[in-house]
Amino acid sequence: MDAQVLNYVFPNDMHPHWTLMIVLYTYLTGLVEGAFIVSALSYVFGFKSLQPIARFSLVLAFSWLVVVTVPLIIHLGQPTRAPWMLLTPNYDGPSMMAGFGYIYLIYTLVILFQILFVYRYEMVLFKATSSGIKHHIYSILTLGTNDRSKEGRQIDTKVIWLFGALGIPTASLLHGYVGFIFGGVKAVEWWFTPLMPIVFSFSAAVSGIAGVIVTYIMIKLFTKRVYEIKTETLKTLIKLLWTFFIFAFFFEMLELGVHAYSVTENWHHVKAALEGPMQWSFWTMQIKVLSIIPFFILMWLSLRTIGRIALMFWGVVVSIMLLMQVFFMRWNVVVGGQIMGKSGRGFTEYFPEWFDKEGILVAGLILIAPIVILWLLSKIFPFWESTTEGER
Amino acid sequence: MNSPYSFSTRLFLLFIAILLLIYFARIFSLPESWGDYGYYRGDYIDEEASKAMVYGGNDTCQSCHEEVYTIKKEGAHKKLSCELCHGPVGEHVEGKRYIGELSVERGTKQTKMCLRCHQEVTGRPETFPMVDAKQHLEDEKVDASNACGSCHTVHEPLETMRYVKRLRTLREGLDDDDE
Repeated sequence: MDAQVLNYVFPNDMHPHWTLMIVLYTYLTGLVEGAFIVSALSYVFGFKSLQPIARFSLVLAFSWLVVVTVPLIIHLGQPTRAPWMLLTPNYDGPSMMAGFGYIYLIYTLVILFQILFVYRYEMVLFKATSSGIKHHIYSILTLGTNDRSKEGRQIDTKVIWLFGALGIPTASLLHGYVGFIFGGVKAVEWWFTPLMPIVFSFSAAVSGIAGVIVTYIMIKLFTKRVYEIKTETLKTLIKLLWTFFIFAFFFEMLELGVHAYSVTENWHHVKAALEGPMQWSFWTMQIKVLSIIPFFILMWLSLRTIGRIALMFWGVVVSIMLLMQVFFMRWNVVVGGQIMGKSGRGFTEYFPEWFDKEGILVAGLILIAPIVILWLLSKIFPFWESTTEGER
Repeated sequence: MNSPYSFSTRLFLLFIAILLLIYFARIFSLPESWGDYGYYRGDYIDEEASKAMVYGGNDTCQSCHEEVYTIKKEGAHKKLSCELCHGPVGEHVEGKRYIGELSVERGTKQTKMCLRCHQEVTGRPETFPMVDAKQHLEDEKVDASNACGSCHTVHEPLETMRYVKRLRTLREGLDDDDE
């Protein structure tokens, strides 16, 4: 596909090198953070209404976390290069991605260990009743222990709290770091702002919470257990979604506003990009259709007393819209920054190929993979019915 | 096995094991000379230095081809490296090739070579000599089948031009005298 070039672009930035895979990477990292926040609010801050989905959102966060590095490795082309970055990082400068690798590793361990503690007691019970492969899996995951004492479970609760408390800053750091990777690129005026990590972090929470709402309702719908959905839980999720969305949206708009008012260096170029090649993806989709409309729907859902069915229906609708909004936001950041030529005048074009190595088909498969992983994880970690409910 | 602390203890030990694994992975996978001078393999410098020479620079060419060098050093192409057109001298002295591939064949292939720099492109400074090959041949009223080398000597492209100009001036001078 030949790129359509507008005005003057230097020959070496005719072709955006960070493709759809990088968009996906930022998107998936964000989903993890948001889902984790839901569980942390229950485990650490004791939100009673979120308790029914605390375990579910933790496992959901993990199933997204597993695929975060997949688009990066596909984009890298030569996967054996990845460990070198982590083993021999250059602290004097260019190893920004090594930093992400460490935070990702720490975060993976935090979530994994927290899941193990959350399910420890049940896994000990399941181990006794199951046989075959399942028995072996539970044996490995409980590290060969069989403790059923009350004291042991009290320790679990404390450790879960500790991991949750550790996880919140780590989660913010994880996605803030993704924002920093872009915000630190001085050469791209559309990225170079200290607000980038903050905007990324808040929009991550938005996409993750929206992801929790959609998967929660969809799983209940397909397993024909809609009656199990707790209205209070859903209401809390929607209020949370609105809160985080307000911060994410207004921080982004404020940033744009400050640039526009103070006419910062190269604002003319950013303005031309937003009014030209990014007109549809930024103003029409991200702002008008997928931000302003959901803002009012969420306001209505949060502030008014809404019937249960309407809450579920509009909850899913608005969550899907916000999932798309965040995807558009990531696209506009990653691709938008690259279609602006370093000449400060021209623009190039990017659209992914359908069947390319980094194309749309691969992206679709990566987005579907967490659902399959979640289904597999549900075989080992039951999300809903707590067999120990009575004892708690 | 049934102590309330058993799981936490084992998980902690597992965590330590993971850290040790990373630590040893780094130790075992790092090349011996890593970090001797900086963030790279120290042996790399010797390896690179001991590679056979490929490009020799103009001085190397001059040592044998003094006559062409004398023509080139006065002309418009004086700043160019010989090997830019002729290919690496390393291959030349080893006898693999008599000369670099690019300008072996005169004619269209040579023209292509010239146009790499002299093709009319908006991005180049206006003072740089650029032509649209076809248009240039038409403008100069010569046959379209001509290659660049037909008129321009490549080592000093303006040599013939200067000569022709001088002849024309003489001719005009003679014509003026006749009148």
